[in-house]
Amino acid sequence: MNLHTLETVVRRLYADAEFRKAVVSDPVGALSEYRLVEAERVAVTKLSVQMAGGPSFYAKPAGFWQ
Amino acid sequence: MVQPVPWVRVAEIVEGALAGCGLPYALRGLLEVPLRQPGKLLAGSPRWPALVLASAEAAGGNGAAALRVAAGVEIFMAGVDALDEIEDGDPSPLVEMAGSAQALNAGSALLMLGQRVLADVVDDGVAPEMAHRLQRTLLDAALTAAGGQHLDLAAARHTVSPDDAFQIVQLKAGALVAGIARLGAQLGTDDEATVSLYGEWGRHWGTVAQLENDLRDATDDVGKRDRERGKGTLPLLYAGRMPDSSSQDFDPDAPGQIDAVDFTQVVIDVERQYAAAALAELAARGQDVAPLAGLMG
Repeated sequence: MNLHTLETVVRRLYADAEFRKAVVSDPVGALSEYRLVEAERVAVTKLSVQMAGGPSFYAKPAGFWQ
Repeated sequence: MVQPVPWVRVAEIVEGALAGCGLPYALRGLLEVPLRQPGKLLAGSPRWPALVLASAEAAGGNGAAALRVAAGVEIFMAGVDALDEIEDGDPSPLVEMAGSAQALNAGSALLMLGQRVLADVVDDGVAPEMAHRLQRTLLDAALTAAGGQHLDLAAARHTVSPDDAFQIVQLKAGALVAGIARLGAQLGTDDEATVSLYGEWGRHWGTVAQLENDLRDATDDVGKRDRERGKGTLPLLYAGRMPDSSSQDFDPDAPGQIDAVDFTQVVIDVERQYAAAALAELAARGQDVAPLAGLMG
């Protein structure tokens, strides 16, 4: 997993409203400049949708280590 | 097939192993301490046995052998956890009760007893070659986790990157869950490609579970041991709250910190997708993945 790229994208989602909107409407195009694999792109898109007021993508913790 | 709720039988094997281990009475009492801590079968939380039995059931494994393997893993992991607490400097009921030296001995004894229980699967009709393979799987996972623990302990003294923190999670929790998922699967199939998929699922699922735990520890007022120890978990690293920080309070609403939670959730989501993909591939190979999916919630 490319944590550095993911970190860059998440920080940009917070700082750049236009980028956030673009990721929601066209994730493949908006994220094309970043080398994300599909699962990473899907997760980032879920976060963008959540930040735009959509459903939370936080899964309920299974609590394996609780 | 494994029975739906076989915890009583697994607990009987654990208690039988303790009673018949031939150790001095006082040491047996110490061995019971980690086995009765929260998160353990004898405390009503069959975490590791559930993983063994879910994998064995998914692979169509031998029921009696699966119960014994589950018991062996429970004892072995109690030893791993006891030693981990001592190494990490976490509160240890065993150390409080008997001191560090006796606690180390008890933790080591649990590792040995767990392996002995595992070796006894030959009594359940498992071929000696398979019993050897099961032991090897458990020990390989534990050795990988020991390597991860070495990095984790070293990281407590040095600045670590998010990549380092992620690697440690994979090498510890990821490797242990992967190994134990493989162990259960080996009771039902000798197809190495299928067994590897169980390991793949376990590696990602174990990583998810540990990151969820780290996130809870970073954000929950109750469980803030990681912050107090200055541990470089992924959410704490991302929030920039390392040991040299003047404050150890994690405020998820503070500027620059809410995205630490989101960032960790993104990583968790990616790992969940990989775990789900491994399950889908197992299902395509005819494995009954419902018990594993049930563990994922």
